[in-house]
Amino acid sequence: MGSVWVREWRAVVRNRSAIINPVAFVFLGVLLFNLGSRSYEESFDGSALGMLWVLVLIANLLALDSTFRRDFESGLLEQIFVSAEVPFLILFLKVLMQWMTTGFLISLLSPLLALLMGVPYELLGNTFVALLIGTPTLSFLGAIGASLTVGMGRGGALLALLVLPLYIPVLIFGVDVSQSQSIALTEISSLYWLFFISLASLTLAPFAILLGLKISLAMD
Amino acid sequence: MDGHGLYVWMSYLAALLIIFGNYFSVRSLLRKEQKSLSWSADKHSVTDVADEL
Amino acid sequence: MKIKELWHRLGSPRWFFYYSGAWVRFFGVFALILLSVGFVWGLLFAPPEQYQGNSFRIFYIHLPAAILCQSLYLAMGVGGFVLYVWRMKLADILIAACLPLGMSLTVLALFTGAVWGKPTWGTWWEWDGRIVSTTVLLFLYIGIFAIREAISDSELRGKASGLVAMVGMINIPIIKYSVDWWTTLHQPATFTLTEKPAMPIEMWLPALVMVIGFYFFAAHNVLTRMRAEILRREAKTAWVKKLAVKMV
Repeated sequence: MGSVWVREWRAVVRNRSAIINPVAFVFLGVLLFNLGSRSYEESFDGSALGMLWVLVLIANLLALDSTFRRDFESGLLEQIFVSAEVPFLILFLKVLMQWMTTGFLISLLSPLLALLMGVPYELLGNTFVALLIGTPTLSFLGAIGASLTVGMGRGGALLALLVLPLYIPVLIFGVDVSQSQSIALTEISSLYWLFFISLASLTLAPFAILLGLKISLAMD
Repeated sequence: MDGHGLYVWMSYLAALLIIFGNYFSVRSLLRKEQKSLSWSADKHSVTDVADEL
Repeated sequence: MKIKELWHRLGSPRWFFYYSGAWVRFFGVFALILLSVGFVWGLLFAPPEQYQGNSFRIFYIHLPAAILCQSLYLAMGVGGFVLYVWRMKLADILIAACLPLGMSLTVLALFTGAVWGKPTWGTWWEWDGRIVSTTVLLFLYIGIFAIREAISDSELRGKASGLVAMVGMINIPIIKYSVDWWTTLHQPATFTLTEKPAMPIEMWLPALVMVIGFYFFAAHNVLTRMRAEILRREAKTAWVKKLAVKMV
């Protein structure tokens, strides 16, 4: 397992743009929203948090295809299925790595991003926690969609159509936690939901991903 | 109908549209299959059928 | 006929075709009767509701549409499961057959809900748990449709749509229980298996008639679509050719 992790890590390091792109996209999005919604009042109406979350969702969506694409095209994926006893674990680590380069990074930068969106100080902490707990779901559920569309040439719109409906609960609970005024995290019910969804998708998604990749490999 | 009659009629009409729409689409599907089958049955004689058995 | 025997028979499209013939006619006739009765009853004869007046009649369309669109999706999910475990081609045909009506009824449920909501609760749309998850249901239907369009190989197409159908099943309990978990716009269920409905019989009886009528219509629709698809797929086989000769 360690060697798999190292291999994934090396692949990421070699492909630096894969790390920079999602983060750059979110920053760009924040910039666009700021430019597009300039007003003289400094009032924060909560929609900024929602928009930040949407940006995170879309950034994740854009970064999904790369989860399997390289290994699919190089034939490595087929090898993994043929040789490994437990492709499950390899897939899990792959998606986890994808999360580290998108959702995890974005979560770390979220205080800055939220501040740039005009979110007040008090909510920055909850936003960070919400994103940290919610983004793994995005990567794992998204990977299910990616596993099905990696075999298709222009799967972009189809991927969005399959994945975004699955993202909706994360969006709803995530924004709710981010906007919550309470500092005591244990009081926020939505956080439990977010956590539950994350756990469920982490453990169950790999099965679906396995099936999806089998289909994509057969389509070649 | 206390002013809300329009809404009620719209809903029932929409339901009827969907029911009839689906019913006729299904009917035309079946008819199409039957037509194409009877067309190809016309072309072949009964001996072809015997060959398949 | 024992369950196991029945199950194995289902592996044969030909057996299914012959066996479903009578059922299709049965469902069709009774759907016609029940729906005609239900439509007229709900529209004209059922009593107006105490607070909502006549706009409550929309309920007689909204309820069956909502129940059916979920049931049809469940059928697709189960079909996906059967496809993977038993590799039954019929399951793939089932999934394709449930799509058109399932999508239309989801749209109908959302539309009638909005139309009912405006005079009753003053709002066309609220982002409450049930409405959001039903919208997600619509997108799941569209997603399955899109993925079927994208894959040309029959077996892979079945597997892909089966996978999406199964993954999406998680949405169904969310639709059902979101009204229990969060109290917003929707009220808790009218019909449960254990308790008597909270509304008087003059109101829930036409609703029941409509629900059963819609179920029968859905069965008729899905079965007929499956039969048409079986004819198309098995056009080259002997039994279909014999059937065609008879039809000439």
